[in-house]
Amino acid sequence: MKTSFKLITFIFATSMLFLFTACGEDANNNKNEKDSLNQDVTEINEDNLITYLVPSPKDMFAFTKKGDLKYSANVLNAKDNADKYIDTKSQEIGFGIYSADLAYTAAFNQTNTAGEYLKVVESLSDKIGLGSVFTESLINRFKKIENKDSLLKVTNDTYYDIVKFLENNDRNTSLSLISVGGWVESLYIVTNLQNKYQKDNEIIQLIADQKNIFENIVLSLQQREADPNVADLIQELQAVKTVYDGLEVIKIENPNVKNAKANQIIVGGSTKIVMTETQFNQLKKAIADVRNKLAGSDV
Amino acid sequence: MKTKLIYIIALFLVFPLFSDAQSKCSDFFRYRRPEAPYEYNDQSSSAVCVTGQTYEFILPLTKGKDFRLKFYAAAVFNNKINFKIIDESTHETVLDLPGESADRAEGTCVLADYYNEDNGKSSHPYFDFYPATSTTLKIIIEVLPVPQEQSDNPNVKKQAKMNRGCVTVVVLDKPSDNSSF
Repeated sequence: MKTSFKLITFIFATSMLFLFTACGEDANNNKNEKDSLNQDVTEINEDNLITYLVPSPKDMFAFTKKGDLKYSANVLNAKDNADKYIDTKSQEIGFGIYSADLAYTAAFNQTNTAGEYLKVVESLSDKIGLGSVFTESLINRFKKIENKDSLLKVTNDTYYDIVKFLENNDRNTSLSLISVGGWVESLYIVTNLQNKYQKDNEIIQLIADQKNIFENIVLSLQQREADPNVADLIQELQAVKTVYDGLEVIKIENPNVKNAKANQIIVGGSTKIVMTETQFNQLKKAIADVRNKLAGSDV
Repeated sequence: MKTKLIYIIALFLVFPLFSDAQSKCSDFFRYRRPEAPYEYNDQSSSAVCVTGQTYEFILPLTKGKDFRLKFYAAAVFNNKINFKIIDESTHETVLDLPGESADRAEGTCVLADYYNEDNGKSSHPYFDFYPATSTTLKIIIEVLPVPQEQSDNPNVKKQAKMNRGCVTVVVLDKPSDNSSF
């Protein structure tokens, strides 16, 4: 009888433990589920039902590598800055920054520099619990890189593995901090490579169009604002937000669209985000300030 | 010794009950892969969803790339999901389809495979988006409630039945044919 009681207690305790560890950040979803089960309660956590998507750094460089921009190593975050990252927030943001540097060097086929930055990324990954992503197999793939495409593929696969690992382990806040670090560094690099404002320039338009992505970043961070690290980061991005909030969205006519077939949908085309020279310079300064602060150059 | 054995057996009995909760969306990563000429886009995302809820994915699209979207959902939902996509720059609904349609023809549903006459194979539905200017898509995924069982006894309080599973949005992209980048 005593053994049976112990056994029931054990099963119950194990079940509860497993439930809580398995659900992780889905706790709010569970809450919604429980609420829905109770027909008198309709409370829904709106934040949990909306996912704001943010592209990875490679997206930005996919455009720039075919443009007129020239590679410069000066825009990279110094490798020894990684030693300054003591707390988890700076390590995760720093991981995003160096991931962007890695994507940048890969996009411009800088194999040797990419190898050096991979080591920094690998070192930081250990500190933030992502060490298992950097398997011997991945490192060997990197050593065997023969051309630009394979370099890009390895760096892209690495980023994919990291996202997969973070999602599987419900580390959504970590994913947010890494995404912000990557986006800030990517924009810092592109605004420096472009350097001067030119009207009707495609890179300038790409930078202006980041308004949509930045809005997603901020909204995504606001969902996790209860975390003091995230709240701090929102404050640090305020100057960038001020510039992007000030960009005008104008209506346009006769967009250059092609004829759509079945399953092909034309979107956009009726509005365009406009950035003036003053706003470009303001953004360039704001993004450099926040990047240097996050990257540790100002520490 | 006997007690230890009972505990071990108990562990095996308990853990499979929650295997679905543990796996979450990891099974759906197999769908998140490039399909030439499209490359994998890291904005692809998965979410654990519950019947009776509506979920939104806010997806920025950049001019200069063509995008392909595909959707997958856990079998527990039985394709009872409605999909709507709104172009935020024009506020127009650019897609409004169920997870499965009666005829399963191409372009009539989002989740059920259809017979592709071009290659004579079963294909999973996809939707191609061409941003004329950079824009944002609001993807609205309505996971329909499970039909409730009726009870003849008015004293029996009906409890809503809920299902829980993964829904995945796969985003692919390729440089636009019109792009001058």
